[in-house]
Amino acid sequence: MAEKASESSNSISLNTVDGKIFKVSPTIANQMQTIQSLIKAYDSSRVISLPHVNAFHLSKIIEYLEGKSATTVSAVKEFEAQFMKDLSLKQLKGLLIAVGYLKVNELLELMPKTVAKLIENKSVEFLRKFFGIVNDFTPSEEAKIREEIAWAFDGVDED
Amino acid sequence: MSFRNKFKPPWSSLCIDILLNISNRLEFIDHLRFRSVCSSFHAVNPLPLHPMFPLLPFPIKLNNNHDNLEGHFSLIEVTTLNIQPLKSNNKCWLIKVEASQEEVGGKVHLKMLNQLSSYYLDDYLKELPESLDLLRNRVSFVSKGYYLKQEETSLDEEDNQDIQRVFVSSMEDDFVVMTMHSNGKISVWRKGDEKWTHIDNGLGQCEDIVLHKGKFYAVDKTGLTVTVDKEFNVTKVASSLPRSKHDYGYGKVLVEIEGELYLLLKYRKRNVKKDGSSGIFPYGFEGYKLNEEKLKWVRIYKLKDVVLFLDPHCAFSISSKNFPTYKKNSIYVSFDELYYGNFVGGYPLFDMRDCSTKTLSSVRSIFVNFWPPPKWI
Repeated sequence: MAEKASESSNSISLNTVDGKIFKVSPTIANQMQTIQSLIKAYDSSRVISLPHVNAFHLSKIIEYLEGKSATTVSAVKEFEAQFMKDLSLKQLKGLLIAVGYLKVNELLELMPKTVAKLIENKSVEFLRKFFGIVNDFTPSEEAKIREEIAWAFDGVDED
Repeated sequence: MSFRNKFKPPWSSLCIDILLNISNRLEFIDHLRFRSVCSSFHAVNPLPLHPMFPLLPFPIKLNNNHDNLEGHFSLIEVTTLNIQPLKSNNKCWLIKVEASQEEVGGKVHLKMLNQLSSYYLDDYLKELPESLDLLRNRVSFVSKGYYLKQEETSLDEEDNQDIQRVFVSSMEDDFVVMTMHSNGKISVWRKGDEKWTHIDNGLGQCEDIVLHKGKFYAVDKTGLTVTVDKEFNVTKVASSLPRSKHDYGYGKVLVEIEGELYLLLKYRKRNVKKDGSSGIFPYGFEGYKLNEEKLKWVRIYKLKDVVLFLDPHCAFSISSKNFPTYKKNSIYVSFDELYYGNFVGGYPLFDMRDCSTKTLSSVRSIFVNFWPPPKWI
């Protein structure tokens, strides 16, 4: 019982941008590098504010960190696959930004792999839509890029 | 609270680490497109280099008088690419190329090969545009194969022709090459090795090899199939085939279809024409699918929407849903077979539905899909 009490007094409070407070164990908190360094810098009893992370994203990250402690390699793989599958595209993007901000190393491995798979064989236009990015190249920059990545057919311009 | 606005930082502000982490996992073409998305993606991603391969020891064979030979093998990658206009899904153009990038930051050069052959396309190059625009077209990988080219050796070109298949497994730091020779022997080389290692335990004369799910598979004359891992351990994955009316056939082809491994047994057809001549369609095919749990090949009779191409570098499959101009449930054989004189009177197309071999009236008609380049390119 004493152990449990000390654990809860050790727990770290995280305040998300939408005002929800999460209490997490040090083991979980330390897997988020950004929080780890904040804990070191401040007194651990203080509530840590996370300006770039909302409650949904933080709950997902905690779900992942708790869930991936499965025993076998194949169980972890299965859990990870299901975890990624459950995310909508919008959620995936938001989560990736949160994960990047909190520096959750394991998700920083897993999520880019998923994104890479999603954008395989897709056009640049698709990528812009996917990432929600407007083409900001000037026409002359665009021409330069076109030139840079145009592939030459060998033997065509010889004569 | 100004947090609301900061709450959704745009993707372009994704930290550099994440962007690089995504782009480093992309294939070469995808990587090129990725950095063409916007100026910040472009700024943080250096121009990717076409994959460079280590030089391989020469020669492969041990028991002959090649012992004191100098030189090395270069590994050449041959890719089949599908090119589509951005706005249309039902147009496509399959090309087979050797791509190379001469120096750092250099342009990629494409050397065209005849589709389904190991020969360069040199006669009709004038019909090609000067370059392939990766932004106006969607370019995607269809299949990848390899061959070995001997360099700085005193031997004639012909001496490496007995290497029939080359497959490469490249995962993180591991780089392993497997070759199959015309005498059915297989050899493997791992990055850092001085010599090739010959694999012979438990295997008879091999008839094909393939890379499937990151592992090397080899099939021998009887259909007995093994995997070879990166430590060169051999594990059986399928027993020999039951002897059919075609015996064990005249060669086998391993091919991946939608992530599963299939085997084609090539048999000689005995259709003699009225005038007594034969040999127009010497081959037919029996199909098998690997059941790894039961350690056996299971006979299949149809390929559904699948179109198979028996490319001499690497057999591959596509779905006729994405490539409507190709005949589904069919097998397109290698053009090299035509050069070897195995087919007379037209290009053969094997139809799995009725096991018939149809002749396309001329080679040109099959080339319609391949040549000349479409106007939209």
